[in-house]
Amino acid sequence: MLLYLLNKFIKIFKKEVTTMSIYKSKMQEYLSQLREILFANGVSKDEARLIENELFKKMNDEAPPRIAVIGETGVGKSSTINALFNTNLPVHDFAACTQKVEKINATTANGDSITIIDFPGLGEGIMADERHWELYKKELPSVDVALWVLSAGDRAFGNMITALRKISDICSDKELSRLVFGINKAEHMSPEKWNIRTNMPEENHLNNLIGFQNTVLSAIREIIPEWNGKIETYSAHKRYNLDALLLAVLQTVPETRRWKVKQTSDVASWEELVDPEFLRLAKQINEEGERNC
Amino acid sequence: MDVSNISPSERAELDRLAVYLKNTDLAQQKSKEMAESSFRQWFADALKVLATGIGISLSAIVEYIKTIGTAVSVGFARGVEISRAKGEQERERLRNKRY
Ligand SMILES: Nc1nc2c(ncn2[C@@H]2O[C@H](COP(=O)(O)OP(=O)(O)OP(=O)(O)O)[C@@H](O)[C@H]2O)c(=O)[nH]1
Ligand SMILES: [Mg+2]
Repeated sequence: MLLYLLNKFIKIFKKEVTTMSIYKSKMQEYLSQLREILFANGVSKDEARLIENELFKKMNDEAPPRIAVIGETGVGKSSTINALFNTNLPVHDFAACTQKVEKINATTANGDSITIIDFPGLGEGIMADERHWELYKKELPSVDVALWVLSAGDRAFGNMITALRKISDICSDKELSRLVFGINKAEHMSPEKWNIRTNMPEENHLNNLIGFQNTVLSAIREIIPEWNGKIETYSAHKRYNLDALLLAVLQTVPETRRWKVKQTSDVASWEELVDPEFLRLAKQINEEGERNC
Repeated sequence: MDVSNISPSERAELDRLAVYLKNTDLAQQKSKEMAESSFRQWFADALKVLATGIGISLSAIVEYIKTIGTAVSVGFARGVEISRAKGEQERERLRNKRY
């Protein structure tokens, strides 16, 4: 227990001096420039301080990320949020089949707040229910991003097609532009040639993943022809491509909210699951490559 | 273990790992830059709202915002105007506020 608390403290402390202070020190830098201008224009020191306090307060009051997750039960929606933000949402090994939208105010291991809006599985019963669509209509406009999770190799995405068609009918283009598609469980794609030393799919496995992602993309484009949002293939368990997924999420979040989402993120380390000796050699190859450039 | 004494098939996987590592670094770098530019934008917006409230001329603030990230030029600072009458009320409000 003591060790746990200590670790938690170290984590919070580390974050404080890394990510947190990036924005705090940026703020200080901007403010010191601003101060010169204010003084040059007869603003007193006290007044300038009030303006600074107001800006700091605004920064601290910035609302936590609001993230919607959409997808069938068991695809790994909760696991994905846990992997990206270091939250502790419950993961279900057996289909839980929640039937209602859950709004969860979670706290990350670093102590940041985050709001998750968990849309229930897209089973046929649910999709026929008009109340379900009312909830999408109500919640989607106010989220920073809506992450639609699928499972790699699951070719039966008929439900997704039906749901997307319905969503594209009831949502504006702006709301649709908040969508990111994530294909989880990359290691489950046939032929399941996951290399445990590199913690990556081998070449034929990767080719199938690319093929699957393209299939999903064409299915989306059939419904929304002008779709040019982001789609990423990853694994919450293997932590593979999580950095790319976070980037896709950030690219989708409204511009002035990206820093807040980034500040809250805490991506699970993929490197930790790579054979250390292999990792060392790969880094060596890259360093040599750079030197030869 | 050394790069020169591993089997060709392992070497191929190792090379792919090296490429993936580079791409991951790139993604992290991009995320970081995107967040920083987002923060600049956020700060500029917040400042604009505040400046309008206290009556610092908006054009001066817009000019300032353009310079964020670079040094503030003296010439521009001299050009700043404050419409005091308009700002006095809001300043009073700020002054009376306690944090
Ligand atoms: N192999 C593999 N399994 C995963 C991965 N991510 C999640 N899982 C497993 O998939 C199951 C469901 O995960 P959850 O995160 O609970 O899925 P969910 O979509 O939130 O499910 P509901 O809340 O029931 O809708 C669990 O057994 C997870 O361990 C992954 O990347 N790879
Ligand atoms: Mg869940």
